Amino acid sequence: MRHLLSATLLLTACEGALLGGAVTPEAPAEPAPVAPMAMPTGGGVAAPLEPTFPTFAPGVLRPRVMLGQWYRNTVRDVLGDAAMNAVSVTPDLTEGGLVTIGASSKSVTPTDVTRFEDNGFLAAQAVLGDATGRARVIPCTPANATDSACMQQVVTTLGRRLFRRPLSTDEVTRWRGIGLSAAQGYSSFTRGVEFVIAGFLQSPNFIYLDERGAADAATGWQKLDPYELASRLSFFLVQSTPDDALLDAAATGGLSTVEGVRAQAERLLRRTEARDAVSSLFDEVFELEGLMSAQKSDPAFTREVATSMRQELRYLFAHVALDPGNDFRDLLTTRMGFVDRRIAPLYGVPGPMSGFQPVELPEARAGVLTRLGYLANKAHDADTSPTHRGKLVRQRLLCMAVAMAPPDVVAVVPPPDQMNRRTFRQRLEERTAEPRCQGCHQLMDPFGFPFEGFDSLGRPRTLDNGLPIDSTGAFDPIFSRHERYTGAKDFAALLHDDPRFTECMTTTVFRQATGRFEAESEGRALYELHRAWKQTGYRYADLVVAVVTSDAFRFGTVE
Amino acid sequence: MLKGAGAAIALPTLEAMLNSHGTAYAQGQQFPKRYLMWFFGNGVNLPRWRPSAQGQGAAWQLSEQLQPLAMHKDLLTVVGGCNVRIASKRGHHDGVAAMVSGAEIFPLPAGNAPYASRLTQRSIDQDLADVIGAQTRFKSMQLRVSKRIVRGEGPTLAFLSHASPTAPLEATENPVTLFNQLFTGVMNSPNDPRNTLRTSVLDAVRDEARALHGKLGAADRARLDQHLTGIAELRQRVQQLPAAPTGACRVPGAPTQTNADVSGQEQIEAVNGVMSDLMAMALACDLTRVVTYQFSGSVGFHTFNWLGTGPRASEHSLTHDQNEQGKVHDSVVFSMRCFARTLTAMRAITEGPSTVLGNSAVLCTSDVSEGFTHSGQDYPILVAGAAGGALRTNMHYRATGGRNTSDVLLALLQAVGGPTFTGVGAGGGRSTTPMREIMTS
Repeated sequence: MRHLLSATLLLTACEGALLGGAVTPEAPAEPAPVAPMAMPTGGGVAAPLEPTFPTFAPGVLRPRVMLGQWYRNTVRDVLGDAAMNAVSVTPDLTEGGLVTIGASSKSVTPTDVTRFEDNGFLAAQAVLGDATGRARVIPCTPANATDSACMQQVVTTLGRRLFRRPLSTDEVTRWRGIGLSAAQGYSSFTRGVEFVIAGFLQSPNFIYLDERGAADAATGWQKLDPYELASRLSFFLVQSTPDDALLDAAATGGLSTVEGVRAQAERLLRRTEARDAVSSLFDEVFELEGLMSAQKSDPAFTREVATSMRQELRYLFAHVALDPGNDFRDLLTTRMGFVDRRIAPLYGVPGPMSGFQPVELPEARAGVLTRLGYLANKAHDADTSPTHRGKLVRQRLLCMAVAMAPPDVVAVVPPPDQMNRRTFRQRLEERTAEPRCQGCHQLMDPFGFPFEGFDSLGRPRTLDNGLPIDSTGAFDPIFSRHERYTGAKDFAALLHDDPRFTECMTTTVFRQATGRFEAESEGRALYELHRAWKQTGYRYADLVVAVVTSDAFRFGTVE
Repeated sequence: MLKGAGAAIALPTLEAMLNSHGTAYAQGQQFPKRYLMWFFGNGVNLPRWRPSAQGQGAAWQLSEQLQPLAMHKDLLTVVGGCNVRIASKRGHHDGVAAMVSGAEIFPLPAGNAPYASRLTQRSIDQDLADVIGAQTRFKSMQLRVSKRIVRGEGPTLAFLSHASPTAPLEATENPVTLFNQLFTGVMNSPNDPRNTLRTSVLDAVRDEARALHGKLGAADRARLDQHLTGIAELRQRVQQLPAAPTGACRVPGAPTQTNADVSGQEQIEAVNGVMSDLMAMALACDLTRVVTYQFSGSVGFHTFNWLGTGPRASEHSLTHDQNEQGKVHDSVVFSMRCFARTLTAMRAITEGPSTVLGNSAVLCTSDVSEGFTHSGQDYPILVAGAAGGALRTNMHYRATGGRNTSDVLLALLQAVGGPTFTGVGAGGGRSTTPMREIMTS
């Protein structure tokens, strides 16, 4: 498997190379099965050649450890709010910028085992602590403390939601036995149920999403069974365990066809939890967690303001992705904003008395890259940071790698010198003028200069250190994109039309859906997903449906 | 203070807490030796950290930054002049890796972070736990005070204990959780079937984990091995018979401190106090003998806003600002005040003629010498406690020739774990020469 951050970079680089007849650097030793061919395009532009790809095979399936958010949501959906509030989770492991990928390599440590046990009993005691909760998890009236039939019903109904599939006969016998032992030991049916719930929440059948499928004769790959597919869909789209409707669909063949998968995906996308899932994904893409520890000497920046900045973007992501009729690329150009009374003044618009409200932001604001949450997060204490701002665009919006700074470099821009006045941009350009700095800084800084019109909190400005700011530049010269921009709106328009952006979003959504980097042998699948998305007008829901109905999502290989 | 809290509520003697070999530590008997690593992030200002004179007893005096430790000077040794000798050079990563493992770091895909790494050997506290912790309820414990740690750059910066290079051990940062782990569930009456039932549940969980294990490829089987180890350890703790109390072991009053922020601000000093008291009692009750204590994280994302006036930048930002070195100094002094509080908690518990602190070896260090330079030279190292007489104390010793920091690690491993430890670390950080100058033999 290849780390596709760099693979995407290569793919991009080879679009130019292909015109010169070179093969892609990713091509395998064996001959590529598909010859390059002309692809029709509109507008009379010369048709680019279709790149070649290795033979398609889906990537490797690895068990994923349930993420903290998934765990909490599952406890909430199955056991209720009180149980959810009783459990604690620890931060997830991030890999390639996504916790969903980290979940494929995370190990459960002894500390986790202890926490799972604590959580199991705490959640069980919380749900069983009142009559409503007991009715929620005990679907029958036990005739006595050790009513075996009723215990079996508890085990089968809760087990189906928590293991995300029907339990085997052996499993039913095992967990019913534990429930009955505890019920007998305490002369209490409810205490018996407590041990069943606590046990389920520690079981590897609950903790791991093991989507190994079964060998499929037709393709030679592993095919996910309907319940595995249900889990994959549900955690991707609503960050929680499959609901009853989805499990019913799995049981009755409703996920055995592409049409069935599509229908369920579209249903899940209409749930409110789908908005949280989209917000969480792009919260990670934009690295918004960083806002929570950002430090500014400006007293206008408080933790409450930082939280509101982050919330605005979460609303924006869900709006652009899921509200009807939106083109996902609007993310880069829309003036639709969401403000509360804390951040409205920073935008210079009236704010609501309470909560958030949608507003049209001032002319200077075009898309997510002109919002406080991005601009303040990717800035220094009092200065802006073209490097950090640009690096996010390069890495997270174009999926291109930037090498790390050499370890001996003191990556600090010198402070202002009043004898030799300079803007921060000027000092940065002087500091990074050496060729060994430029190797990386030319990948980052030109993507950050357009935002020099916004200060370290994201407010508009015209001066820096008393000198006029300079927010002009050439778009991406090292990739032969020499278009000039002046300011954020120009730049956002260029990015909006850059296919590398929508390719990167395709890759990101694919990774989020599958919890892994794409395999080299999935290059064609990603290419086709992107092409299909383009043809349908870049609606986010269309991309999601295309991903979940693709072979790469529904099949896999095993080691 | 624990003693006060203990006296305030009529406490049951902790009958549940036997040391697990079945030997009660009566007067005159041998008390266990313990190891504590107390870690603070982002280094010191060396000129204000180094004591001026070397020597033992009255021959040396505490420096400006070490003043808060005055009441523990008699059990303190300051080690200077050592360098981080591992070959990896990546500020913060190399320092913390050298001080927890003595071995190199391994770069990981960094994603959006500037750099990421993991260790290449497990941390030494885990080696020690195999030898001295195998029989206690918790083979080792991981604690944390400041929650502002760097998680985006791999396990090296985020954790101090690593069961293996790919299995870092998460720390407990909520004192209420810690209390529940340590002191609840052990006071059951013999008729309560709870622990027997917990064991049955763990057996079921183990069987299901084994079934999954059998289906996986090699890489994922290694992950399940970790999980199975955790299940086995928990099962052992649940099953272990209650033991006789030592003279000082008491169930402390349940804390209410949860380490939640108040108005966006960490409650560091309060959390540190409660955490220190609980940890000291866990040691006194022989629930564990090996602890890593992350007071603040590598790189220094924490902010000590209550020091001085006006809002402060994070420790990390301060150290890189030439004009803010005064605030950095204040922060080091504050960290040392909190370290002193931990030592006070350990010293407050008497063990025969000595105290928990007297029977422990405490290593106090950081991830860089000075945050401003990211240097690994002249590393700030404090050793507190006498490890039951194995360590010399009340001393300032400066090594010469850029001596390997791992020599200190090996001295502490031998002082606590005995001669079974013949070497530590790997590559440039490898040491087979314990720093005898700080040992009594």
